Amino acid sequence: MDFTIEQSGAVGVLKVDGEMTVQYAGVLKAALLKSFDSVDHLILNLDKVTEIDLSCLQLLCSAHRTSAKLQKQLTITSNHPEALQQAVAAAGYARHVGCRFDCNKNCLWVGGN
Amino acid sequence: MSGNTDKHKEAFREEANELLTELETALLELEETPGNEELIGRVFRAMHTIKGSGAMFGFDDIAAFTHEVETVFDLVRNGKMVVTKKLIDLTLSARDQIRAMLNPDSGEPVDVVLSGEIIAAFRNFIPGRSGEKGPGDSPAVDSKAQAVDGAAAKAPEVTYRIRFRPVQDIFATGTNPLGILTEIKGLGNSRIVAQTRDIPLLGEINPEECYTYWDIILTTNQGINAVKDTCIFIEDSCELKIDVIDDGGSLDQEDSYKKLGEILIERGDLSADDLRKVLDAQKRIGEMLVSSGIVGPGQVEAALVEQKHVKGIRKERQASEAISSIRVPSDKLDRLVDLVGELVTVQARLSQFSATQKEAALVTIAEEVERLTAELRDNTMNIRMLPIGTTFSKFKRLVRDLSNELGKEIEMTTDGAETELDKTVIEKLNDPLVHLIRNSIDHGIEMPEAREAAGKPRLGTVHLSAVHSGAYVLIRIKDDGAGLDTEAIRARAIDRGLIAADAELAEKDLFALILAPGFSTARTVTNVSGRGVGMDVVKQAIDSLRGQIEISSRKGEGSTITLKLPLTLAIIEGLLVKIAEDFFVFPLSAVEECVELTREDAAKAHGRNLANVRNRIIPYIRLRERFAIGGELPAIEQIVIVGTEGSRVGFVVDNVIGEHQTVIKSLGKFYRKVEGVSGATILGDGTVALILDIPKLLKMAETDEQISFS
Amino acid sequence: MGKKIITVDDSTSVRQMVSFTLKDAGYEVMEAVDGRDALSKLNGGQVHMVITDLNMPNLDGIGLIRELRANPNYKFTPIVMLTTESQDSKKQEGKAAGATGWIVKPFKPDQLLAVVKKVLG
Repeated sequence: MDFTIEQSGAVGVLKVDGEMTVQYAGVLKAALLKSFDSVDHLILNLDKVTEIDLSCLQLLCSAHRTSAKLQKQLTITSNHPEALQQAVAAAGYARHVGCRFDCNKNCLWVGGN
Repeated sequence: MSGNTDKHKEAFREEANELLTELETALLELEETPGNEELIGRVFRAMHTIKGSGAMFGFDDIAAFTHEVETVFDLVRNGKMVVTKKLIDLTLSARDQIRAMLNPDSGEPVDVVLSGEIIAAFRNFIPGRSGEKGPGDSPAVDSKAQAVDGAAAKAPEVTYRIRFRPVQDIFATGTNPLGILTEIKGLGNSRIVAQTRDIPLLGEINPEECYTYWDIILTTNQGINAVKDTCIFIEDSCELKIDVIDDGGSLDQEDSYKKLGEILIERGDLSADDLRKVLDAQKRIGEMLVSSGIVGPGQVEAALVEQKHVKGIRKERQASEAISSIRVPSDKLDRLVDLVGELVTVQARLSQFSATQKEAALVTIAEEVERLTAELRDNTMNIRMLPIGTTFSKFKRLVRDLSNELGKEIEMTTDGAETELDKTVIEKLNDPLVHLIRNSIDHGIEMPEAREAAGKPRLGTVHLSAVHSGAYVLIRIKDDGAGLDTEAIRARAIDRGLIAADAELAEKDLFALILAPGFSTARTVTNVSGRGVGMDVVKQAIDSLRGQIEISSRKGEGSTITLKLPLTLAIIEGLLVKIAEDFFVFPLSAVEECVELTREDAAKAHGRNLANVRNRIIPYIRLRERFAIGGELPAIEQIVIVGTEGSRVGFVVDNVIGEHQTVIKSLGKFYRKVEGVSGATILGDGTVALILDIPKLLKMAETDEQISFS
Repeated sequence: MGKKIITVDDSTSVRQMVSFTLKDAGYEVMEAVDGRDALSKLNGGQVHMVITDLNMPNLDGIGLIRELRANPNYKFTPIVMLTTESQDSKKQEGKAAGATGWIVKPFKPDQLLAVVKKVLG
C-alpha cells in the first residue's frame, strides 16, 4: 500500500493505492491523524485500492467518528468502489442507522447495500 | 440421501485409484532406492490417505486392510525397519488387493483368503508381533469427518443466533475474521450485523487490533458443529455463543416471531425491567430504546435483522442448494454427444434450407444457429477429453513385472502424459498398447548380457510418449532394443505366403508385414508376447479407432511404433461422394487425391482395374460393383485415391461432392453385417450416407483377388 | 490478479497437489521444498499466505513459522500448517509459534480450498 497527501487550503486529499490491509494499518492511522491535524475536510480517495480488510474498515469507522468529534468532515470517494463494498458486505458493516457518534447522520455504512 | 453417499464413494474410489497408481510408482522407485525417505514417506502417506478416507466413506474392509500396511511403513518411516525386495513385492500385492476391494464390479472377485494371507504376512514383518493377532485394533477414524458426514443426512433447517467476538489481538495470528464470516455465510441463509460501538477514536485506536464483534442469524441444515467448526482455528481466541432460535418447524409452528424487546432480553442486551419502563411510553420500541440510550443502534439493528430473518424463513421453508460442479455418468455424456450429433445434422439442413429461401432474417438465424452448434459441439467433445497419463502409469507396472519375469533390465520413461484424447479412444487404446509394450520387452530389448556384448547399457529403455498433431494424437512406443530383423521378417513372410519369394519391398512395407494375421518371428513362444496373435490384433484395434500404425526400426538400435489416432470418434471430416443415387463418405484423413477416369482411360487398361496417374500405376476398386449398384455409368468417373500402409489404391465413384463434416451414427442390427461400411451419417437434406470402411474394403478386394497391391 | 501463496513441503506429491489445486482456483503459487528454501525464496517479498508442512529437513515447519512471525513483513500473514492426526502436540506448538490454522492430512482439494478461502477471507 502507498499513499499520498495533497492539501489545498482547508481541504486535504489522502490518496491510497494498493491493498488496505492490516500490515499497513499503522501507517494509515498515522496519515489520517496527521491529515485531521491540518485540514477541516479530508477526502479519502480510494480509487486505486484493490482490497480492504477488517482492520482498515475499523480505521475508516474510527476516522469518521474522530471527524465528527473534531467537527471536521470526512468524505470517501472511489471510482472503483467494489473493494470497499465487498469488505463492507463481508464484514456486515452495512446498516440502517448510524452509531451514536454519528451526529451529522453521515455514517459511512448507512445506505448503499 | 443414498445418492449423496454413492457420490462420495465414487469420489473416494477415484481418489484411491489415483493413489494406488502413485503408490505403485513410489514402490517401484523405492525398489531402486530402498533408503529413500521421501519415497517411504510417499508410500506411507498413500496408505494413510486410503485408510483415513476409506473409513470415512464406509470402505471399512479397505481401511482395516490398509491399516496393517500403514503400520509397517510407519516403522520403516521411523527407521525401525528397512525396505527389502520382499516388502516391496508384498506391498505391491497388497496394492493390487486394495484395488480389487475398491472396484468389486471390475470382474475380479475379492479373494478374502488372499487378503488374510497378505495381512498375516505384513504382521509378520512387525517385530515382536506374530501373525495370529486378531483384527482387534480398528483403524483410526477421523471422528469429526464422520460426524459431519452423518449430519449431512437430511438434517432439518435450523436457525441459529450467533455472537462471534474474536480476541482483540486476533490479527497477530494471521487470522482474517472476514474469512470466518464468509464461511458462516456459506453454510446457509444468513444476516450478519457488525457491532462497531467499541471502535475507539483515531487517537486511541491500535489499528492492529480487532474491536468489532458480530451478531449473526443463520439458517442452515449443516448442524451446529458445522457452525462451531468455522471457528476451529481460533476456538480459544474467540467468544462464540450459539443459540437455536428456530429448529425447522417442530419448535414453533407460528410464522410470526418474537417481539423486538423479547429478542433483546434473550440476547442479554436489555433487562426485562428496562423494557417495561420504556414500554410505558408509546413510540416505536426500537427508536424509544435507542433514544433512551439503554441499547445502541447496532444492537437494535441486529435484533431487527433477527426478527426479519426468522419471519422470512418461516414463510418459505425451502432452500435450494447451489451446485458448482457435478459428476455425471458417462452414458449421459454419450447421450449428449448423440444429441449434439443430431443437432449438427439438423443445423446443416437448416443452413441448406435457408440458403435456398433467400430470406435475410432466416439466413441470420441459420448462421447464428450454426455458430452456436459448432460451439456446442466443440464444448461437448471437450467434456469427453481425458489426459492419457492415467493409462501410462499402468504400463510402468507392466514393464516391471514382465522384465522381472524375463530376467531383463528395463526402464520405462514417459512423455506427454497430459495429452488429452477422447475418453472412448483412451479406453480402447489400452489393449493395443499392452501388446506393443509387451512386444518391445519380449522381442525388442535384449538380455542384459547381450546388450553389454553389443556395447549398450545393460538397462534397456522403453519410451512411451503422446503428442498432439493437428486433429490427431501421435502415440509412440520406442525401445532401444535389437530392432526388427528384416531378413527374419522376409523369410517368415515368404514362409507364410504373405509375399512372393522374389518380392522387392521397401523397408517400411516389410515392417508393415508384422501386422499381418498369424505373423510371429519370435523363436520361442513365451507367455509374454503370446503366440503371434498380438500385432494383427493391435492393427484391428487401431483400425477400429480409425487410426494408423507406422513402424520404423534400425537393426541393433531399436524400434519405434507410432500410432496416429483421431482426437475424437464421434465426428469425422469426410469426403462425400455419389454413385447413382447413393451417397458415401470417405474418411478425409485417408484420402490423398481425386483424379478423373474417362471411358478411354478405362479401356486402355484392357479390363484390368489399373489407372495411370502421373506415370504411376494405381489399382482401383469399382464401388459400383462392390455395392452392386445398377444404372448408367457417367462419361467421366472419379477415382478417389487413398493412401494405406504405404501403397495407394483408388476407389471409383460417379461424383465427388466435397468435404463434409460427419457425425457418425452406428448402423442398426440389420446393416451390421454389411461389409465395407463402418457407419452411417445423415445429410443436410435428410438422406443417409454410408461411411466407407477403407481397410475392410481393401481386405475384401484382396481376398477376391480382384487386384494385387504392389 | 490472483493472490500469491507459497506451499512449503518436502513431499513433491503433496506440494504438487497443493500447487495444482491452488493454481486451478486462480491463485499464484510458489513452491519451496523446506523452511530454508521458503525463506530464501520469499526473501522478505510479499506473499498472501503460507502453507507449510511440519516435518521437513533443514528448517522444519515450526521453525519457519517462528522466523516468519519475527519478520515485520510477515507479522500478519496467514500461515497454515499441514499436520497428521497423530501430531496434536505439534499443532499446539505450531499455534504457539504463530500459525493461523492447520489442515489435517490426508485432505482433499476441496478441503484445502475451503481453508484457503477461510483464511484469506
